[in-house]
Amino acid sequence: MYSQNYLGHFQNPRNIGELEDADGIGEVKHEGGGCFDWVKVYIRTDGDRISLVKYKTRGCSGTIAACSLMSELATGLVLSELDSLNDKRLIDELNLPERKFHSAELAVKALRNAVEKVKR
Amino acid sequence: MKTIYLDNSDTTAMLDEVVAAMLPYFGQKYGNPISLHSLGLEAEEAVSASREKLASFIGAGEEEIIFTGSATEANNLALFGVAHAYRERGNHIISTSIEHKSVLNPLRRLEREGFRVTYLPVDVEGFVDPDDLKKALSDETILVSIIHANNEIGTLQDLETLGKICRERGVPFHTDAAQSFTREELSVTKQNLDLVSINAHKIHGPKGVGALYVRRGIRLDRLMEGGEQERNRRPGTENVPGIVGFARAAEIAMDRFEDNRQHMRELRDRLARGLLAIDHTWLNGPKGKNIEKRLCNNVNITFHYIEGEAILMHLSLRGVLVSSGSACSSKDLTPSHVLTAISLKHEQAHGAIRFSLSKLNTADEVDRTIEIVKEVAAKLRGMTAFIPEEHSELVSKKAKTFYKPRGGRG
Repeated sequence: MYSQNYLGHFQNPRNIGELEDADGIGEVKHEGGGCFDWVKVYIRTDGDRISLVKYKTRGCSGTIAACSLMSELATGLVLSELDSLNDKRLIDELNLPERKFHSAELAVKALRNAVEKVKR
Repeated sequence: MKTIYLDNSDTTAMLDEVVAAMLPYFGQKYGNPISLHSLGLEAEEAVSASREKLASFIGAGEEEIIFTGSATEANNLALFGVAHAYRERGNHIISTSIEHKSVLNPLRRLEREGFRVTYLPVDVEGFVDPDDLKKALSDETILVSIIHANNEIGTLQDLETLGKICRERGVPFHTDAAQSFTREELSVTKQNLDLVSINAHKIHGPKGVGALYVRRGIRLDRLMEGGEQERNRRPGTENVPGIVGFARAAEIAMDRFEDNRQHMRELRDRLARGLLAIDHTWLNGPKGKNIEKRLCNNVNITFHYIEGEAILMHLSLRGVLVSSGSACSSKDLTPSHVLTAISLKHEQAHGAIRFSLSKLNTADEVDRTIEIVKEVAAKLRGMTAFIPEEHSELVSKKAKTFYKPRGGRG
């Protein structure tokens, strides 16, 4: 069974949406297997901090929950501390089963892609 | 929260009458049918009466029914049993690309043993072309196995025609009828069937019991060695309460066969109509003029641009229980082989949800389901990042010829 945290984020995902004036946009889709999850992350930065995170996803319950938690954890994060927000943290906090590990990977990768765009 | 159970192709609720019929055989009537004393004879009589009833519902003789532990075991017994018994005649087997795993995986094993298997393709609604079967048959063919009602998309194959082709060539014809038994017409004589797999838990009976019909004259090797039960074809003490429950469930279903089928058909069409009113949906399996060739309890809908597992989870949290062909519903992240066999590609297969009805469902439940699905689809589409116009490469070319999304952008 899924954890309460997982179900909470899945049922009421935080920070869903798009940012028209985003400082960085990252988009990833799941590669390999037949899975077809898709994530697009928009971030706004304020100096060296992420001040706002929005995202859209066409994903399973795990990907929706992972994106939601990622958006909460990334908001306010100093860019140099980005490594602290990794797959393992999402997996642990949501208690993701192994078949949903790809959800954490997608959420983190999309965020990092968005941050890369800001750096450029 | 009231549960609306729409996963009846997975399993069904056991009826109280069935449980009542079984109870004595867990209690005072605990005999082993093989024993010669009074308790044994009592159990043997119960098994025998059950066998006779089940045989009569498919037009078989009682000696042609072998009880098994499941339809999976019946499929395994049919495939390995015939392949091994007829090995000296040839090594070619014909089946289809949309069989249940309990047929596909034994076939893979037979391939490893050196048998050659032809998997017939199906059209976009899941139908096998009888001409393809004719062309595939050779002097080496020793078995044809074609599922009657597909468990995912509800396609009902024309067994009568397919069976006739096999009969004329003298090739044993097996069908997996786990989904169709007591729901649709099944007659071993009319449909020219040599082997038929059925089970109890899909017809409001108990889990752990199935049966294989084997026409008189068809040779069959045993899967296991042991005692002489089931006319020496399936060793192991019979599941007496299960067998009694199986026959009682079938009897109740067959007693109102036409009424039940009509009821499920009406609910099926009501549900499909309601769900297809949602933008960007598609009915998988037979439709339009072919709706009569669709299993009476099956509705399989693709909700484009959203993930089936997410729909399933939302529905489950709201008390509506369904299943999905989505890859995210499976451990290995591969989409349903049936949905890809009917030319659905990635995105289309991922948004597929199967709703399977039973005689116990009501029109109110169907209407409530439609309302809840509408809300869930709107919620999930509100968060989608998938813009179909930007990803046309993900829609299969073959599918495009029949695939026409409804309404505006999702």
